[in-house]
This record gives sequence, C-alpha cells and structure tokens, in this order.
Amino acid sequence: MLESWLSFAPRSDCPYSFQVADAEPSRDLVDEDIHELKSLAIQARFSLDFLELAAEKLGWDAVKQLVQTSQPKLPRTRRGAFGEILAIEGLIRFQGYAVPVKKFRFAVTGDQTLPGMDVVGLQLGEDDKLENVCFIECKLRTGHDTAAASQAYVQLRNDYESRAADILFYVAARLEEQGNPLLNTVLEYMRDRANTDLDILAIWLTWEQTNWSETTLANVNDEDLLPVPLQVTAIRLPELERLTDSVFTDIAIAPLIDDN
Amino acid sequence: MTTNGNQNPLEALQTDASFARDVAQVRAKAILTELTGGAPPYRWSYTPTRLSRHSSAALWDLGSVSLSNLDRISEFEPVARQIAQAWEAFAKLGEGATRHTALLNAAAAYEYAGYQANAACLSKLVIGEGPSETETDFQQLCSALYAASVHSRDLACGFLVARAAHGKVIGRLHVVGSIACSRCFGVGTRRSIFFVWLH
Repeated sequence: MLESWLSFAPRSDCPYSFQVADAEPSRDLVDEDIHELKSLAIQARFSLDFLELAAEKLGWDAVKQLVQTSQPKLPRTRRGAFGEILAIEGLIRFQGYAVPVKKFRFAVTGDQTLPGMDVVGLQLGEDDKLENVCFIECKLRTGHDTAAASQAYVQLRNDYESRAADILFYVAARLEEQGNPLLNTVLEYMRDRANTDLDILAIWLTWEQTNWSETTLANVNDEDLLPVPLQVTAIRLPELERLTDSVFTDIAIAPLIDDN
Repeated sequence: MTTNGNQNPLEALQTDASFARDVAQVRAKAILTELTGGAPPYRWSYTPTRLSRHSSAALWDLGSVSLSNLDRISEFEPVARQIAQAWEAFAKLGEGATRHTALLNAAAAYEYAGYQANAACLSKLVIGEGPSETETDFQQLCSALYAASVHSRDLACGFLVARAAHGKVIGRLHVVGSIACSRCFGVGTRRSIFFVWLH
C-alpha cells in the first residue's frame, strides 16, 4: 500500500555531485495507509512474533499497553522516528535493501535517541552476494530548513569516519543474536582485504511539501564530500505534522485489533 | 567463522603482508604525530575506515575463538597484538573510532594477545580521561569493569549488575552493552552479560 501511496523516482538529470531521488504521494492518503503506517511504527519497536508471544503470556490488553507506552511521546522524537520508519520502508520496498537491525528497537523508551547513524542497509544481489552497504542518516522537517540536509551529511560523514567499524560490529552482534544468516555476509564484508568499494552514504529527507526548497540539496553539494557515493532521497508530504501525530496517536489500538 | 573452507580468518590475516603494512603505517603515523605534534604529509596508503573495519572484524574473530576454543587463542597472539597496536594508534590519531572506543578495543585485543598489563593501562587511561562529549558513560564503565576484571572477572560482572540495578547505565546497555562487554569479557562471560539484561 505504501508503494501505491508514494511514487519514487530517481532524478535522471541532476546538477549535484550525488544522486537524488524524489518521493511524493501519488494519491490522497486513505485510512488503510494510516493503518499501515501505524503498524510499521509498532514493528519499528517490536517484532510481531514477540508481540504474539507476549500476548500469549500476558494477554492482548497488556501488549497494547506495552506498545502504547513504548512509542515516542515528544513531537521531536515522534518526527525523528517517523522519518526513520519511512526511510527503512523506502530502502526495502523501493531500493531492494535489507535492514536486518532496526535501531529503534533498542531504545529503552520511545523518546530515547540513540547515538550513531540511523540505519544500515544491506543490498544483496544474486546468490545473496553483498552488493552495497548503505549508511543512512534521516532528517524530517515540517518547517523551512535549508541547512538540515547539509547538517545530516556532516553528521553522517563524521559517523562514517569514526563510528562505522563500531556500528558494523554492533550490527554483527545483533545478527548473531537473531541467528540471522546475514551475519556471515556482514563479517565477510568487514574482513574483506580486497577492499571492494561497497559503501554508500545516504540521506533520507522527509519534508513538509510546501516548505521544500532545492537550496536544501544545493547546500549539501557545497560540503566537503567524501569519495564515497552519496544518495539523497527527498520525500515530500503534505500536512506532515498532522500525519506524524496521527500515526503515533492511539497507536496500540487500531492495528492490533485489526490484525488479530 | 571461517573463510576459504575451514581456514580461520585470523590465520589468513596473520599471514597477510598488506595488513601488516597497514598496521605499520598507522603506528608510524601515530608515533610521528606524537613526536612532532602533527601527522607528516606522507602519502599514507591505508584507509582508516577500512583498517578499522578489518580490525573490528578481527576483534570479533578473536572473541569467537576465545568463546569456542580458548586453547587456540595463543596461536593468534601475533595478530591480536597487531590489532591492539592498530587500535592504540587509532586512539592517538582520532581515526577509525572515537578515542575511548579505540582504547577499549586495544585493551581487549591486548587481553587476547596475553598482554594484560597493557590492557589494564589502556582501560585505566579511559577512566582517567573521564567522559567526553562524544563518548558515553558506558565506555567509562566498561573500562572500570575491565580494570577490575584483570583481578576477578566475577567481581567485574557483579559490578556491572550493581551499576545496572541503580539504573544509571541501563539506557546505554542496549546500545553498546553487548559490544563493549563481549570485547572486554570475550573469555566466556556472555552469559553473565545476559544476566544484566534480565535484571
């Protein structure tokens, strides 16, 4: 459904020294879309398997309470979480990435912000061969802010240079806990002495449609860019503030009742 | 945990001349920086992000050996020492990782290499420097744990549980807990760490 609501298009003619993709709604938002977004917000914090198991032991009422109390409450963290959720789904559905470790699940409370880059995506080719490792920083803005994307790049560049090895170790540790077969893929990539260039930096911007300005991208172009490919995705949505609030309001009720 | 069939990746790294060259370069750069106050403008051929990634993977592999077959860890003493030296140099240069993370990694690698005194000195260095804007309290805690673990691993784990119970560091545990702890306590203590999670 997200795929039918958002249309995603890479820019063919781009004046910047990085790739740009745009995403905008191709139709009005319907209740099913909100339902899906709420469901994604729940799954950003908990796996459905875990919730089912918890419901077996504790009952759905307790699970709903758990889901509700674990969601971000502050407007700032809600928006940050929403931007990350959209980026993860965009990476998976539009760009074919796997995002096996969702950072938001490791926050103790919904409003806790965790250090380091927001998302690590793995793009697998034939025979599950690793083709790209994407390090992603997300920004969401409801107002005018032409500096946010370049700030995101600086943050991403610093994290890539000083934390990437640590973050990959963290990803590997989580994959080991999950028993995820991608663990060996990640370890092989970390060990690769042939130094194959698989790394990509990416910025996912979620912006209030009416407040978008191309200067935002031009400012990124003025930064001291690393010799690592950069991709910027700009999602422009109408009434973003209201949308974010509606996704996190009464979050535990609708999706869980409908799904079960 | 193997590459090329049954070969342990550490065996490959141990005989990898290019890895040895990279480590030699980063060490030389760190020493020259310390002596002259700045890195000489040589054309260093190593890439910090890559070398730190390789060193991170090697630390993972050392941890895996220590957990699965501790008797074999001494076979990898040379490469463990190289990795420790690389992380120590990264800490001095501020490359590849934040300073305290690099120092902790160096301490862990020295521990695997059997250089406990070096490990203890580095972890005490982290404690002595105190938290910074880019480092977490948890890294301080791990250093304290590490220093304590030189005398008694059980004591260290007990300390971790006590601190976690006070709730001061529980928020950080999720983020860096298993990373730092598996580094600091690579020798068969992951169960102790899970004890923390459950409390």
